[in-house]
Amino acid sequence: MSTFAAVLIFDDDNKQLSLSEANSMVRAAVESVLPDAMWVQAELMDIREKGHCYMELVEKDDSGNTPIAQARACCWNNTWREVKGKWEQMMGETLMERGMKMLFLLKANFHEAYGFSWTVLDIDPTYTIGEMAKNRKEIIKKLKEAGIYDMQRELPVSPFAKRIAIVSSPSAAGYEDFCRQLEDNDYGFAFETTLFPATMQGENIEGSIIAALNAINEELEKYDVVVIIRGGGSGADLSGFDTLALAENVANFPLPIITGIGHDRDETVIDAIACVSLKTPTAVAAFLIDNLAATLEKLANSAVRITRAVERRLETEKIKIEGLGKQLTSSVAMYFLKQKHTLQMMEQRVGAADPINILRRGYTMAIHNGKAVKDATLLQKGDRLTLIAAKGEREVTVER
Amino acid sequence: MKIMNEIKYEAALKQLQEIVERLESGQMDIDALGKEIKNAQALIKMCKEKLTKTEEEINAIIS
Repeated sequence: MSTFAAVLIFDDDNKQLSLSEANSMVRAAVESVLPDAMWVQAELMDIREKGHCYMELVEKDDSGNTPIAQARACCWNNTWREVKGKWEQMMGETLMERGMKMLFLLKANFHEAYGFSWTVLDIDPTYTIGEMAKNRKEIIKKLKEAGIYDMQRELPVSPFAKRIAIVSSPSAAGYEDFCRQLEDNDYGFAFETTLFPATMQGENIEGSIIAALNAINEELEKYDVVVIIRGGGSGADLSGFDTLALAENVANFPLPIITGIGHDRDETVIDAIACVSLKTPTAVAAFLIDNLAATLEKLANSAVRITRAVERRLETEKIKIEGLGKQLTSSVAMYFLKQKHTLQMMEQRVGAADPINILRRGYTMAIHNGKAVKDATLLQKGDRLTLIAAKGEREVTVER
Repeated sequence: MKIMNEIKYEAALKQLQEIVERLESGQMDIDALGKEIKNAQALIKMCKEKLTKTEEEINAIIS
């Protein structure tokens, strides 16, 4: 069929063509040269859905800034329903959105009135999944090279963490659930929550979360922990969480960050680097409550241990004092025994010195001039003596 | 009060000791002897009473 166009041009060189004639020649040429559909990698630059789905595809140079190819593409209503159904089945909440790397089955199409566009016959989501995973891997590699990949996980969550900075969308259902759950905790813990509003879907995720983190960074001393939460089922995709700038901000943040961004498929980069990564806001609230509950239990255990230690100590001291008491009693008894013995000895010695005890055995004592007579040869005739017996005394005179 | 008793007791005991030593020396004249023995007996009596009283007091405290 490629000869058909050539025939039109060269057979009749005098004829001037109308635009529609010229365009129909282009159409014939395109249809003859590119009759078959083919798989094409491209980045989605724009997408509008109006029954049919209109897209703008682009390929950028290595810098990622300058387009080196760009084209319109259209997916007709019937095809689009199938393609979209298959996409949602595989991608869940992740929508097709600007900047996404995709693989399209395209057929070239040129229309006399509307110009060139590709007709989209199919989209292969597995390619996008692969591209997203590749993107995450690259970001993680860069974070590791910068030495900041593990920084968040090395931060301890305070055992007394109750001042919570929340990065979330104020209208998100997940935010309300989270706050209610914290308030209604079974232990009566008084959490203090402060919301730093951020867009949790679409293209503004990166910028608005970074802005919220910067705002928290201005008053770090007011918070124990940061949570980034988003209700599940919002239909927003997670690719906005997979950017290098956001990852660097999270990794370098000085407070521990806990994520609960509501998804159950591949984790995002910020899940991979956050201090604690949980699936849902509800799980984050439960984690914070459990954290305080564990501390409470530890304190209660400590109280019991302190009481036991004090009791043991008192018991030991009691035994010691009882021992000392017994010792005191016996040493007092010993003291008095000794004193009594001393007195008894004195008494005996005094008794032994008392002449009455000798006189009682039948001796008598002669006293001369107030002194006991110890040498009778010294007495002279006529000396007057006092004779003392055990009982009574008499005056006597020496006769010879 | 207890300390006062203690000192007095100790002093009485010392006095008693001295009397006993004098009695045992055999140098004492007979009038002095009687007086000393009476003194000694009074001291012994006083010491015994103090000792008994103190023992009772202390037992009341520690039991």
